[in-house]
This record gives sequence, structure tokens and C-alpha cells, in this order.
Amino acid sequence: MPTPETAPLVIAGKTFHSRLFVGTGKFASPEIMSEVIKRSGTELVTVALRRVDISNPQDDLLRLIDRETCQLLPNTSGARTAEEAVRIACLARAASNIEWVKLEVTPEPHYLLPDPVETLKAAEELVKEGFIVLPYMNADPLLAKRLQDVGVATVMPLGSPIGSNRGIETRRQIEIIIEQATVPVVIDAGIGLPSHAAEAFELGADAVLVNTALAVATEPLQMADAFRMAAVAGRLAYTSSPGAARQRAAASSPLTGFLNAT
Amino acid sequence: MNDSLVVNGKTRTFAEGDFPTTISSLLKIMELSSEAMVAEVNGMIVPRGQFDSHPLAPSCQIELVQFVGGG
Repeated sequence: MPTPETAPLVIAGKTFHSRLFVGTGKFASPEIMSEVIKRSGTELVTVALRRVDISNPQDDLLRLIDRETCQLLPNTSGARTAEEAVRIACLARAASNIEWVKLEVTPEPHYLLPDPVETLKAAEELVKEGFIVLPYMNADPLLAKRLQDVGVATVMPLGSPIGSNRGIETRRQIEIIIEQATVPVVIDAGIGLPSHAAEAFELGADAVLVNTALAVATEPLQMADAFRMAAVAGRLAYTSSPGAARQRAAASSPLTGFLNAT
Repeated sequence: MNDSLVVNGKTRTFAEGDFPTTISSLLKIMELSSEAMVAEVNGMIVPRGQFDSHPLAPSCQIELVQFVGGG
């Protein structure tokens, strides 16, 4: 029986049939990255912008990404300030003619947490310059509201630090963000297992962005299968209105007709 | 007299007469393809379509960037 599908997601007027977004970093090779992208069924991938390594120039990564099926989302990774983020976004747009940008402003290298002040500042400017902005942010419900007010296309709260594989540690804050969101919510960072992705969807997330978990798995293609299924499972569960959690038991078998009754 | 450019943070010096006057000629000297690349010259973005025309002068600061894998 084929895996059921979930209702499509619309971001900035574009329809996505897969709610699993994939990052392209850290893969053992560009070829493996390309295979994982295909196997995951993703329709959105992130890329970064860096100085050309003049002593060891790389082939064009974009050749390995099918732009017909995949929306490219350049990120502003490396930016420590709003000004740097805007500069990277403009360079990425000039390089690709794409207006979409994953806004990422992470001045502190140990935890790579996104700077809320610089992110909001950059978001406002980038929206004014016509970008479609998907901001990476800490799971702060008030920041999410401010970002939505300046016109971002989604909010992307972290589950736990980038590459940490610790899952949805910010779940209580994310619940609030989802409850109050006026744009799609994409949980991005820290998703280390398919069960984390499923949990994200069961909380009500509209999509997830996963990179490290796919790239560092010993069997990345298998992991891509697992994430693809988990994303569908979690979203289907959420839209099935599951029963609430309870303190006490509620019997699953009938409470009448017992054999030893008198 | 040597003329120089700063390319990706490193100073490159050119003999008189060899100075690259466009980004395309600079890339040719450096044996780089312009594919999927974008440049910034003295803080100003120069898209690929202008690599043949945008003029370079001595002491220009140039950044050559391209897309790489990232999350």
C-alpha cells in the first residue's frame, strides 16, 4: 500500500506537496547529497554562499539540484549582523535570481543561536527589498509575532541548536507560536530523528527543515526514507485530531460482562 | 611597477601589462569558471552578466562567491 499523502502547504504563493525541507550541508559527497534530496521527496532545499576556494574550486552545486522540482532557498549563514545578512542575501539573489532567503544571523559560534534583534532588523529590510523571507529564530512567541508583522513568509523556530540532534526541546514555546501563527511554522534545527520530525508535526508544525540528521547517518538514503515517512505520519496524526492525554486510565476493553461477575 | 587586487582576502600582484581589467579576465588568469558565481567589487555586487564589462582598477577589493552545501 503506497504511503498516503498530506494536504499541500502554501508558502508565498508556492505549493509544496512535501512538508519535509532538506539542507544540503555536511554530506559525505555532492552525489550522496543529490540522492538524498531525491529520496526524501523534498521540494525545498537550502544552500549557503561562501567564498570560492581558489586553490580548490568546486563544481557548481546547483547542477545537482533539480530546480524544476525543488525550490532553492539560499541561507545567510555566516552573518553575525543584520548588515551582513542583507549583504549575503543580495549576493545570493544576484547569483541565482531567486528572491527566497533563509535569514540566519548567528553571531555566537558555540550554540549558533539566532540573534533576535539583528534578525528582526534584517527581516524588515529584506522584506522591503522584495525578498521572500524565511527567518530562523529562537522559539520566542513574541519575536514570531514581530517577524510576522514585518511581513515574513514563514517563521522557523529552532527545536534545539543546529546539528545537536536533540529534538524538540522548545516544544512548549513552539506550541504557543503555532497557536498564534498567521504564517506557516517550519521547525528548523536540532531535529535528529524521524520521531522528532513526527513530533514537530503532531504539535501542529506546517513543515520541518532537516540537515544534519540526514547527512551524518551511516545510511543516509534509508534515513531519507524514514524522514519522508515520519513527516507524513506526524502530519496525518495531527490532522486526525488525536485523543487528549489523560492523568487516569480510560479502559480500552468493555467494563461489563466480566466472567467473574456475581 | 606592479598593480594588485585583493581577491577573497588575499592580495594578488600583476606585472605591468598583465593587469586584468575585467572580472572575466581575472577569472581566466586564475583558471576559474564563472559558473554559478557572483562577485562583489569594493562592496558593490557585480552579477555574472557584467563580468565582461565591469571595469577593475588597481587596489580593488574583490569577493568571488558561489553556492555551497548548507542547512
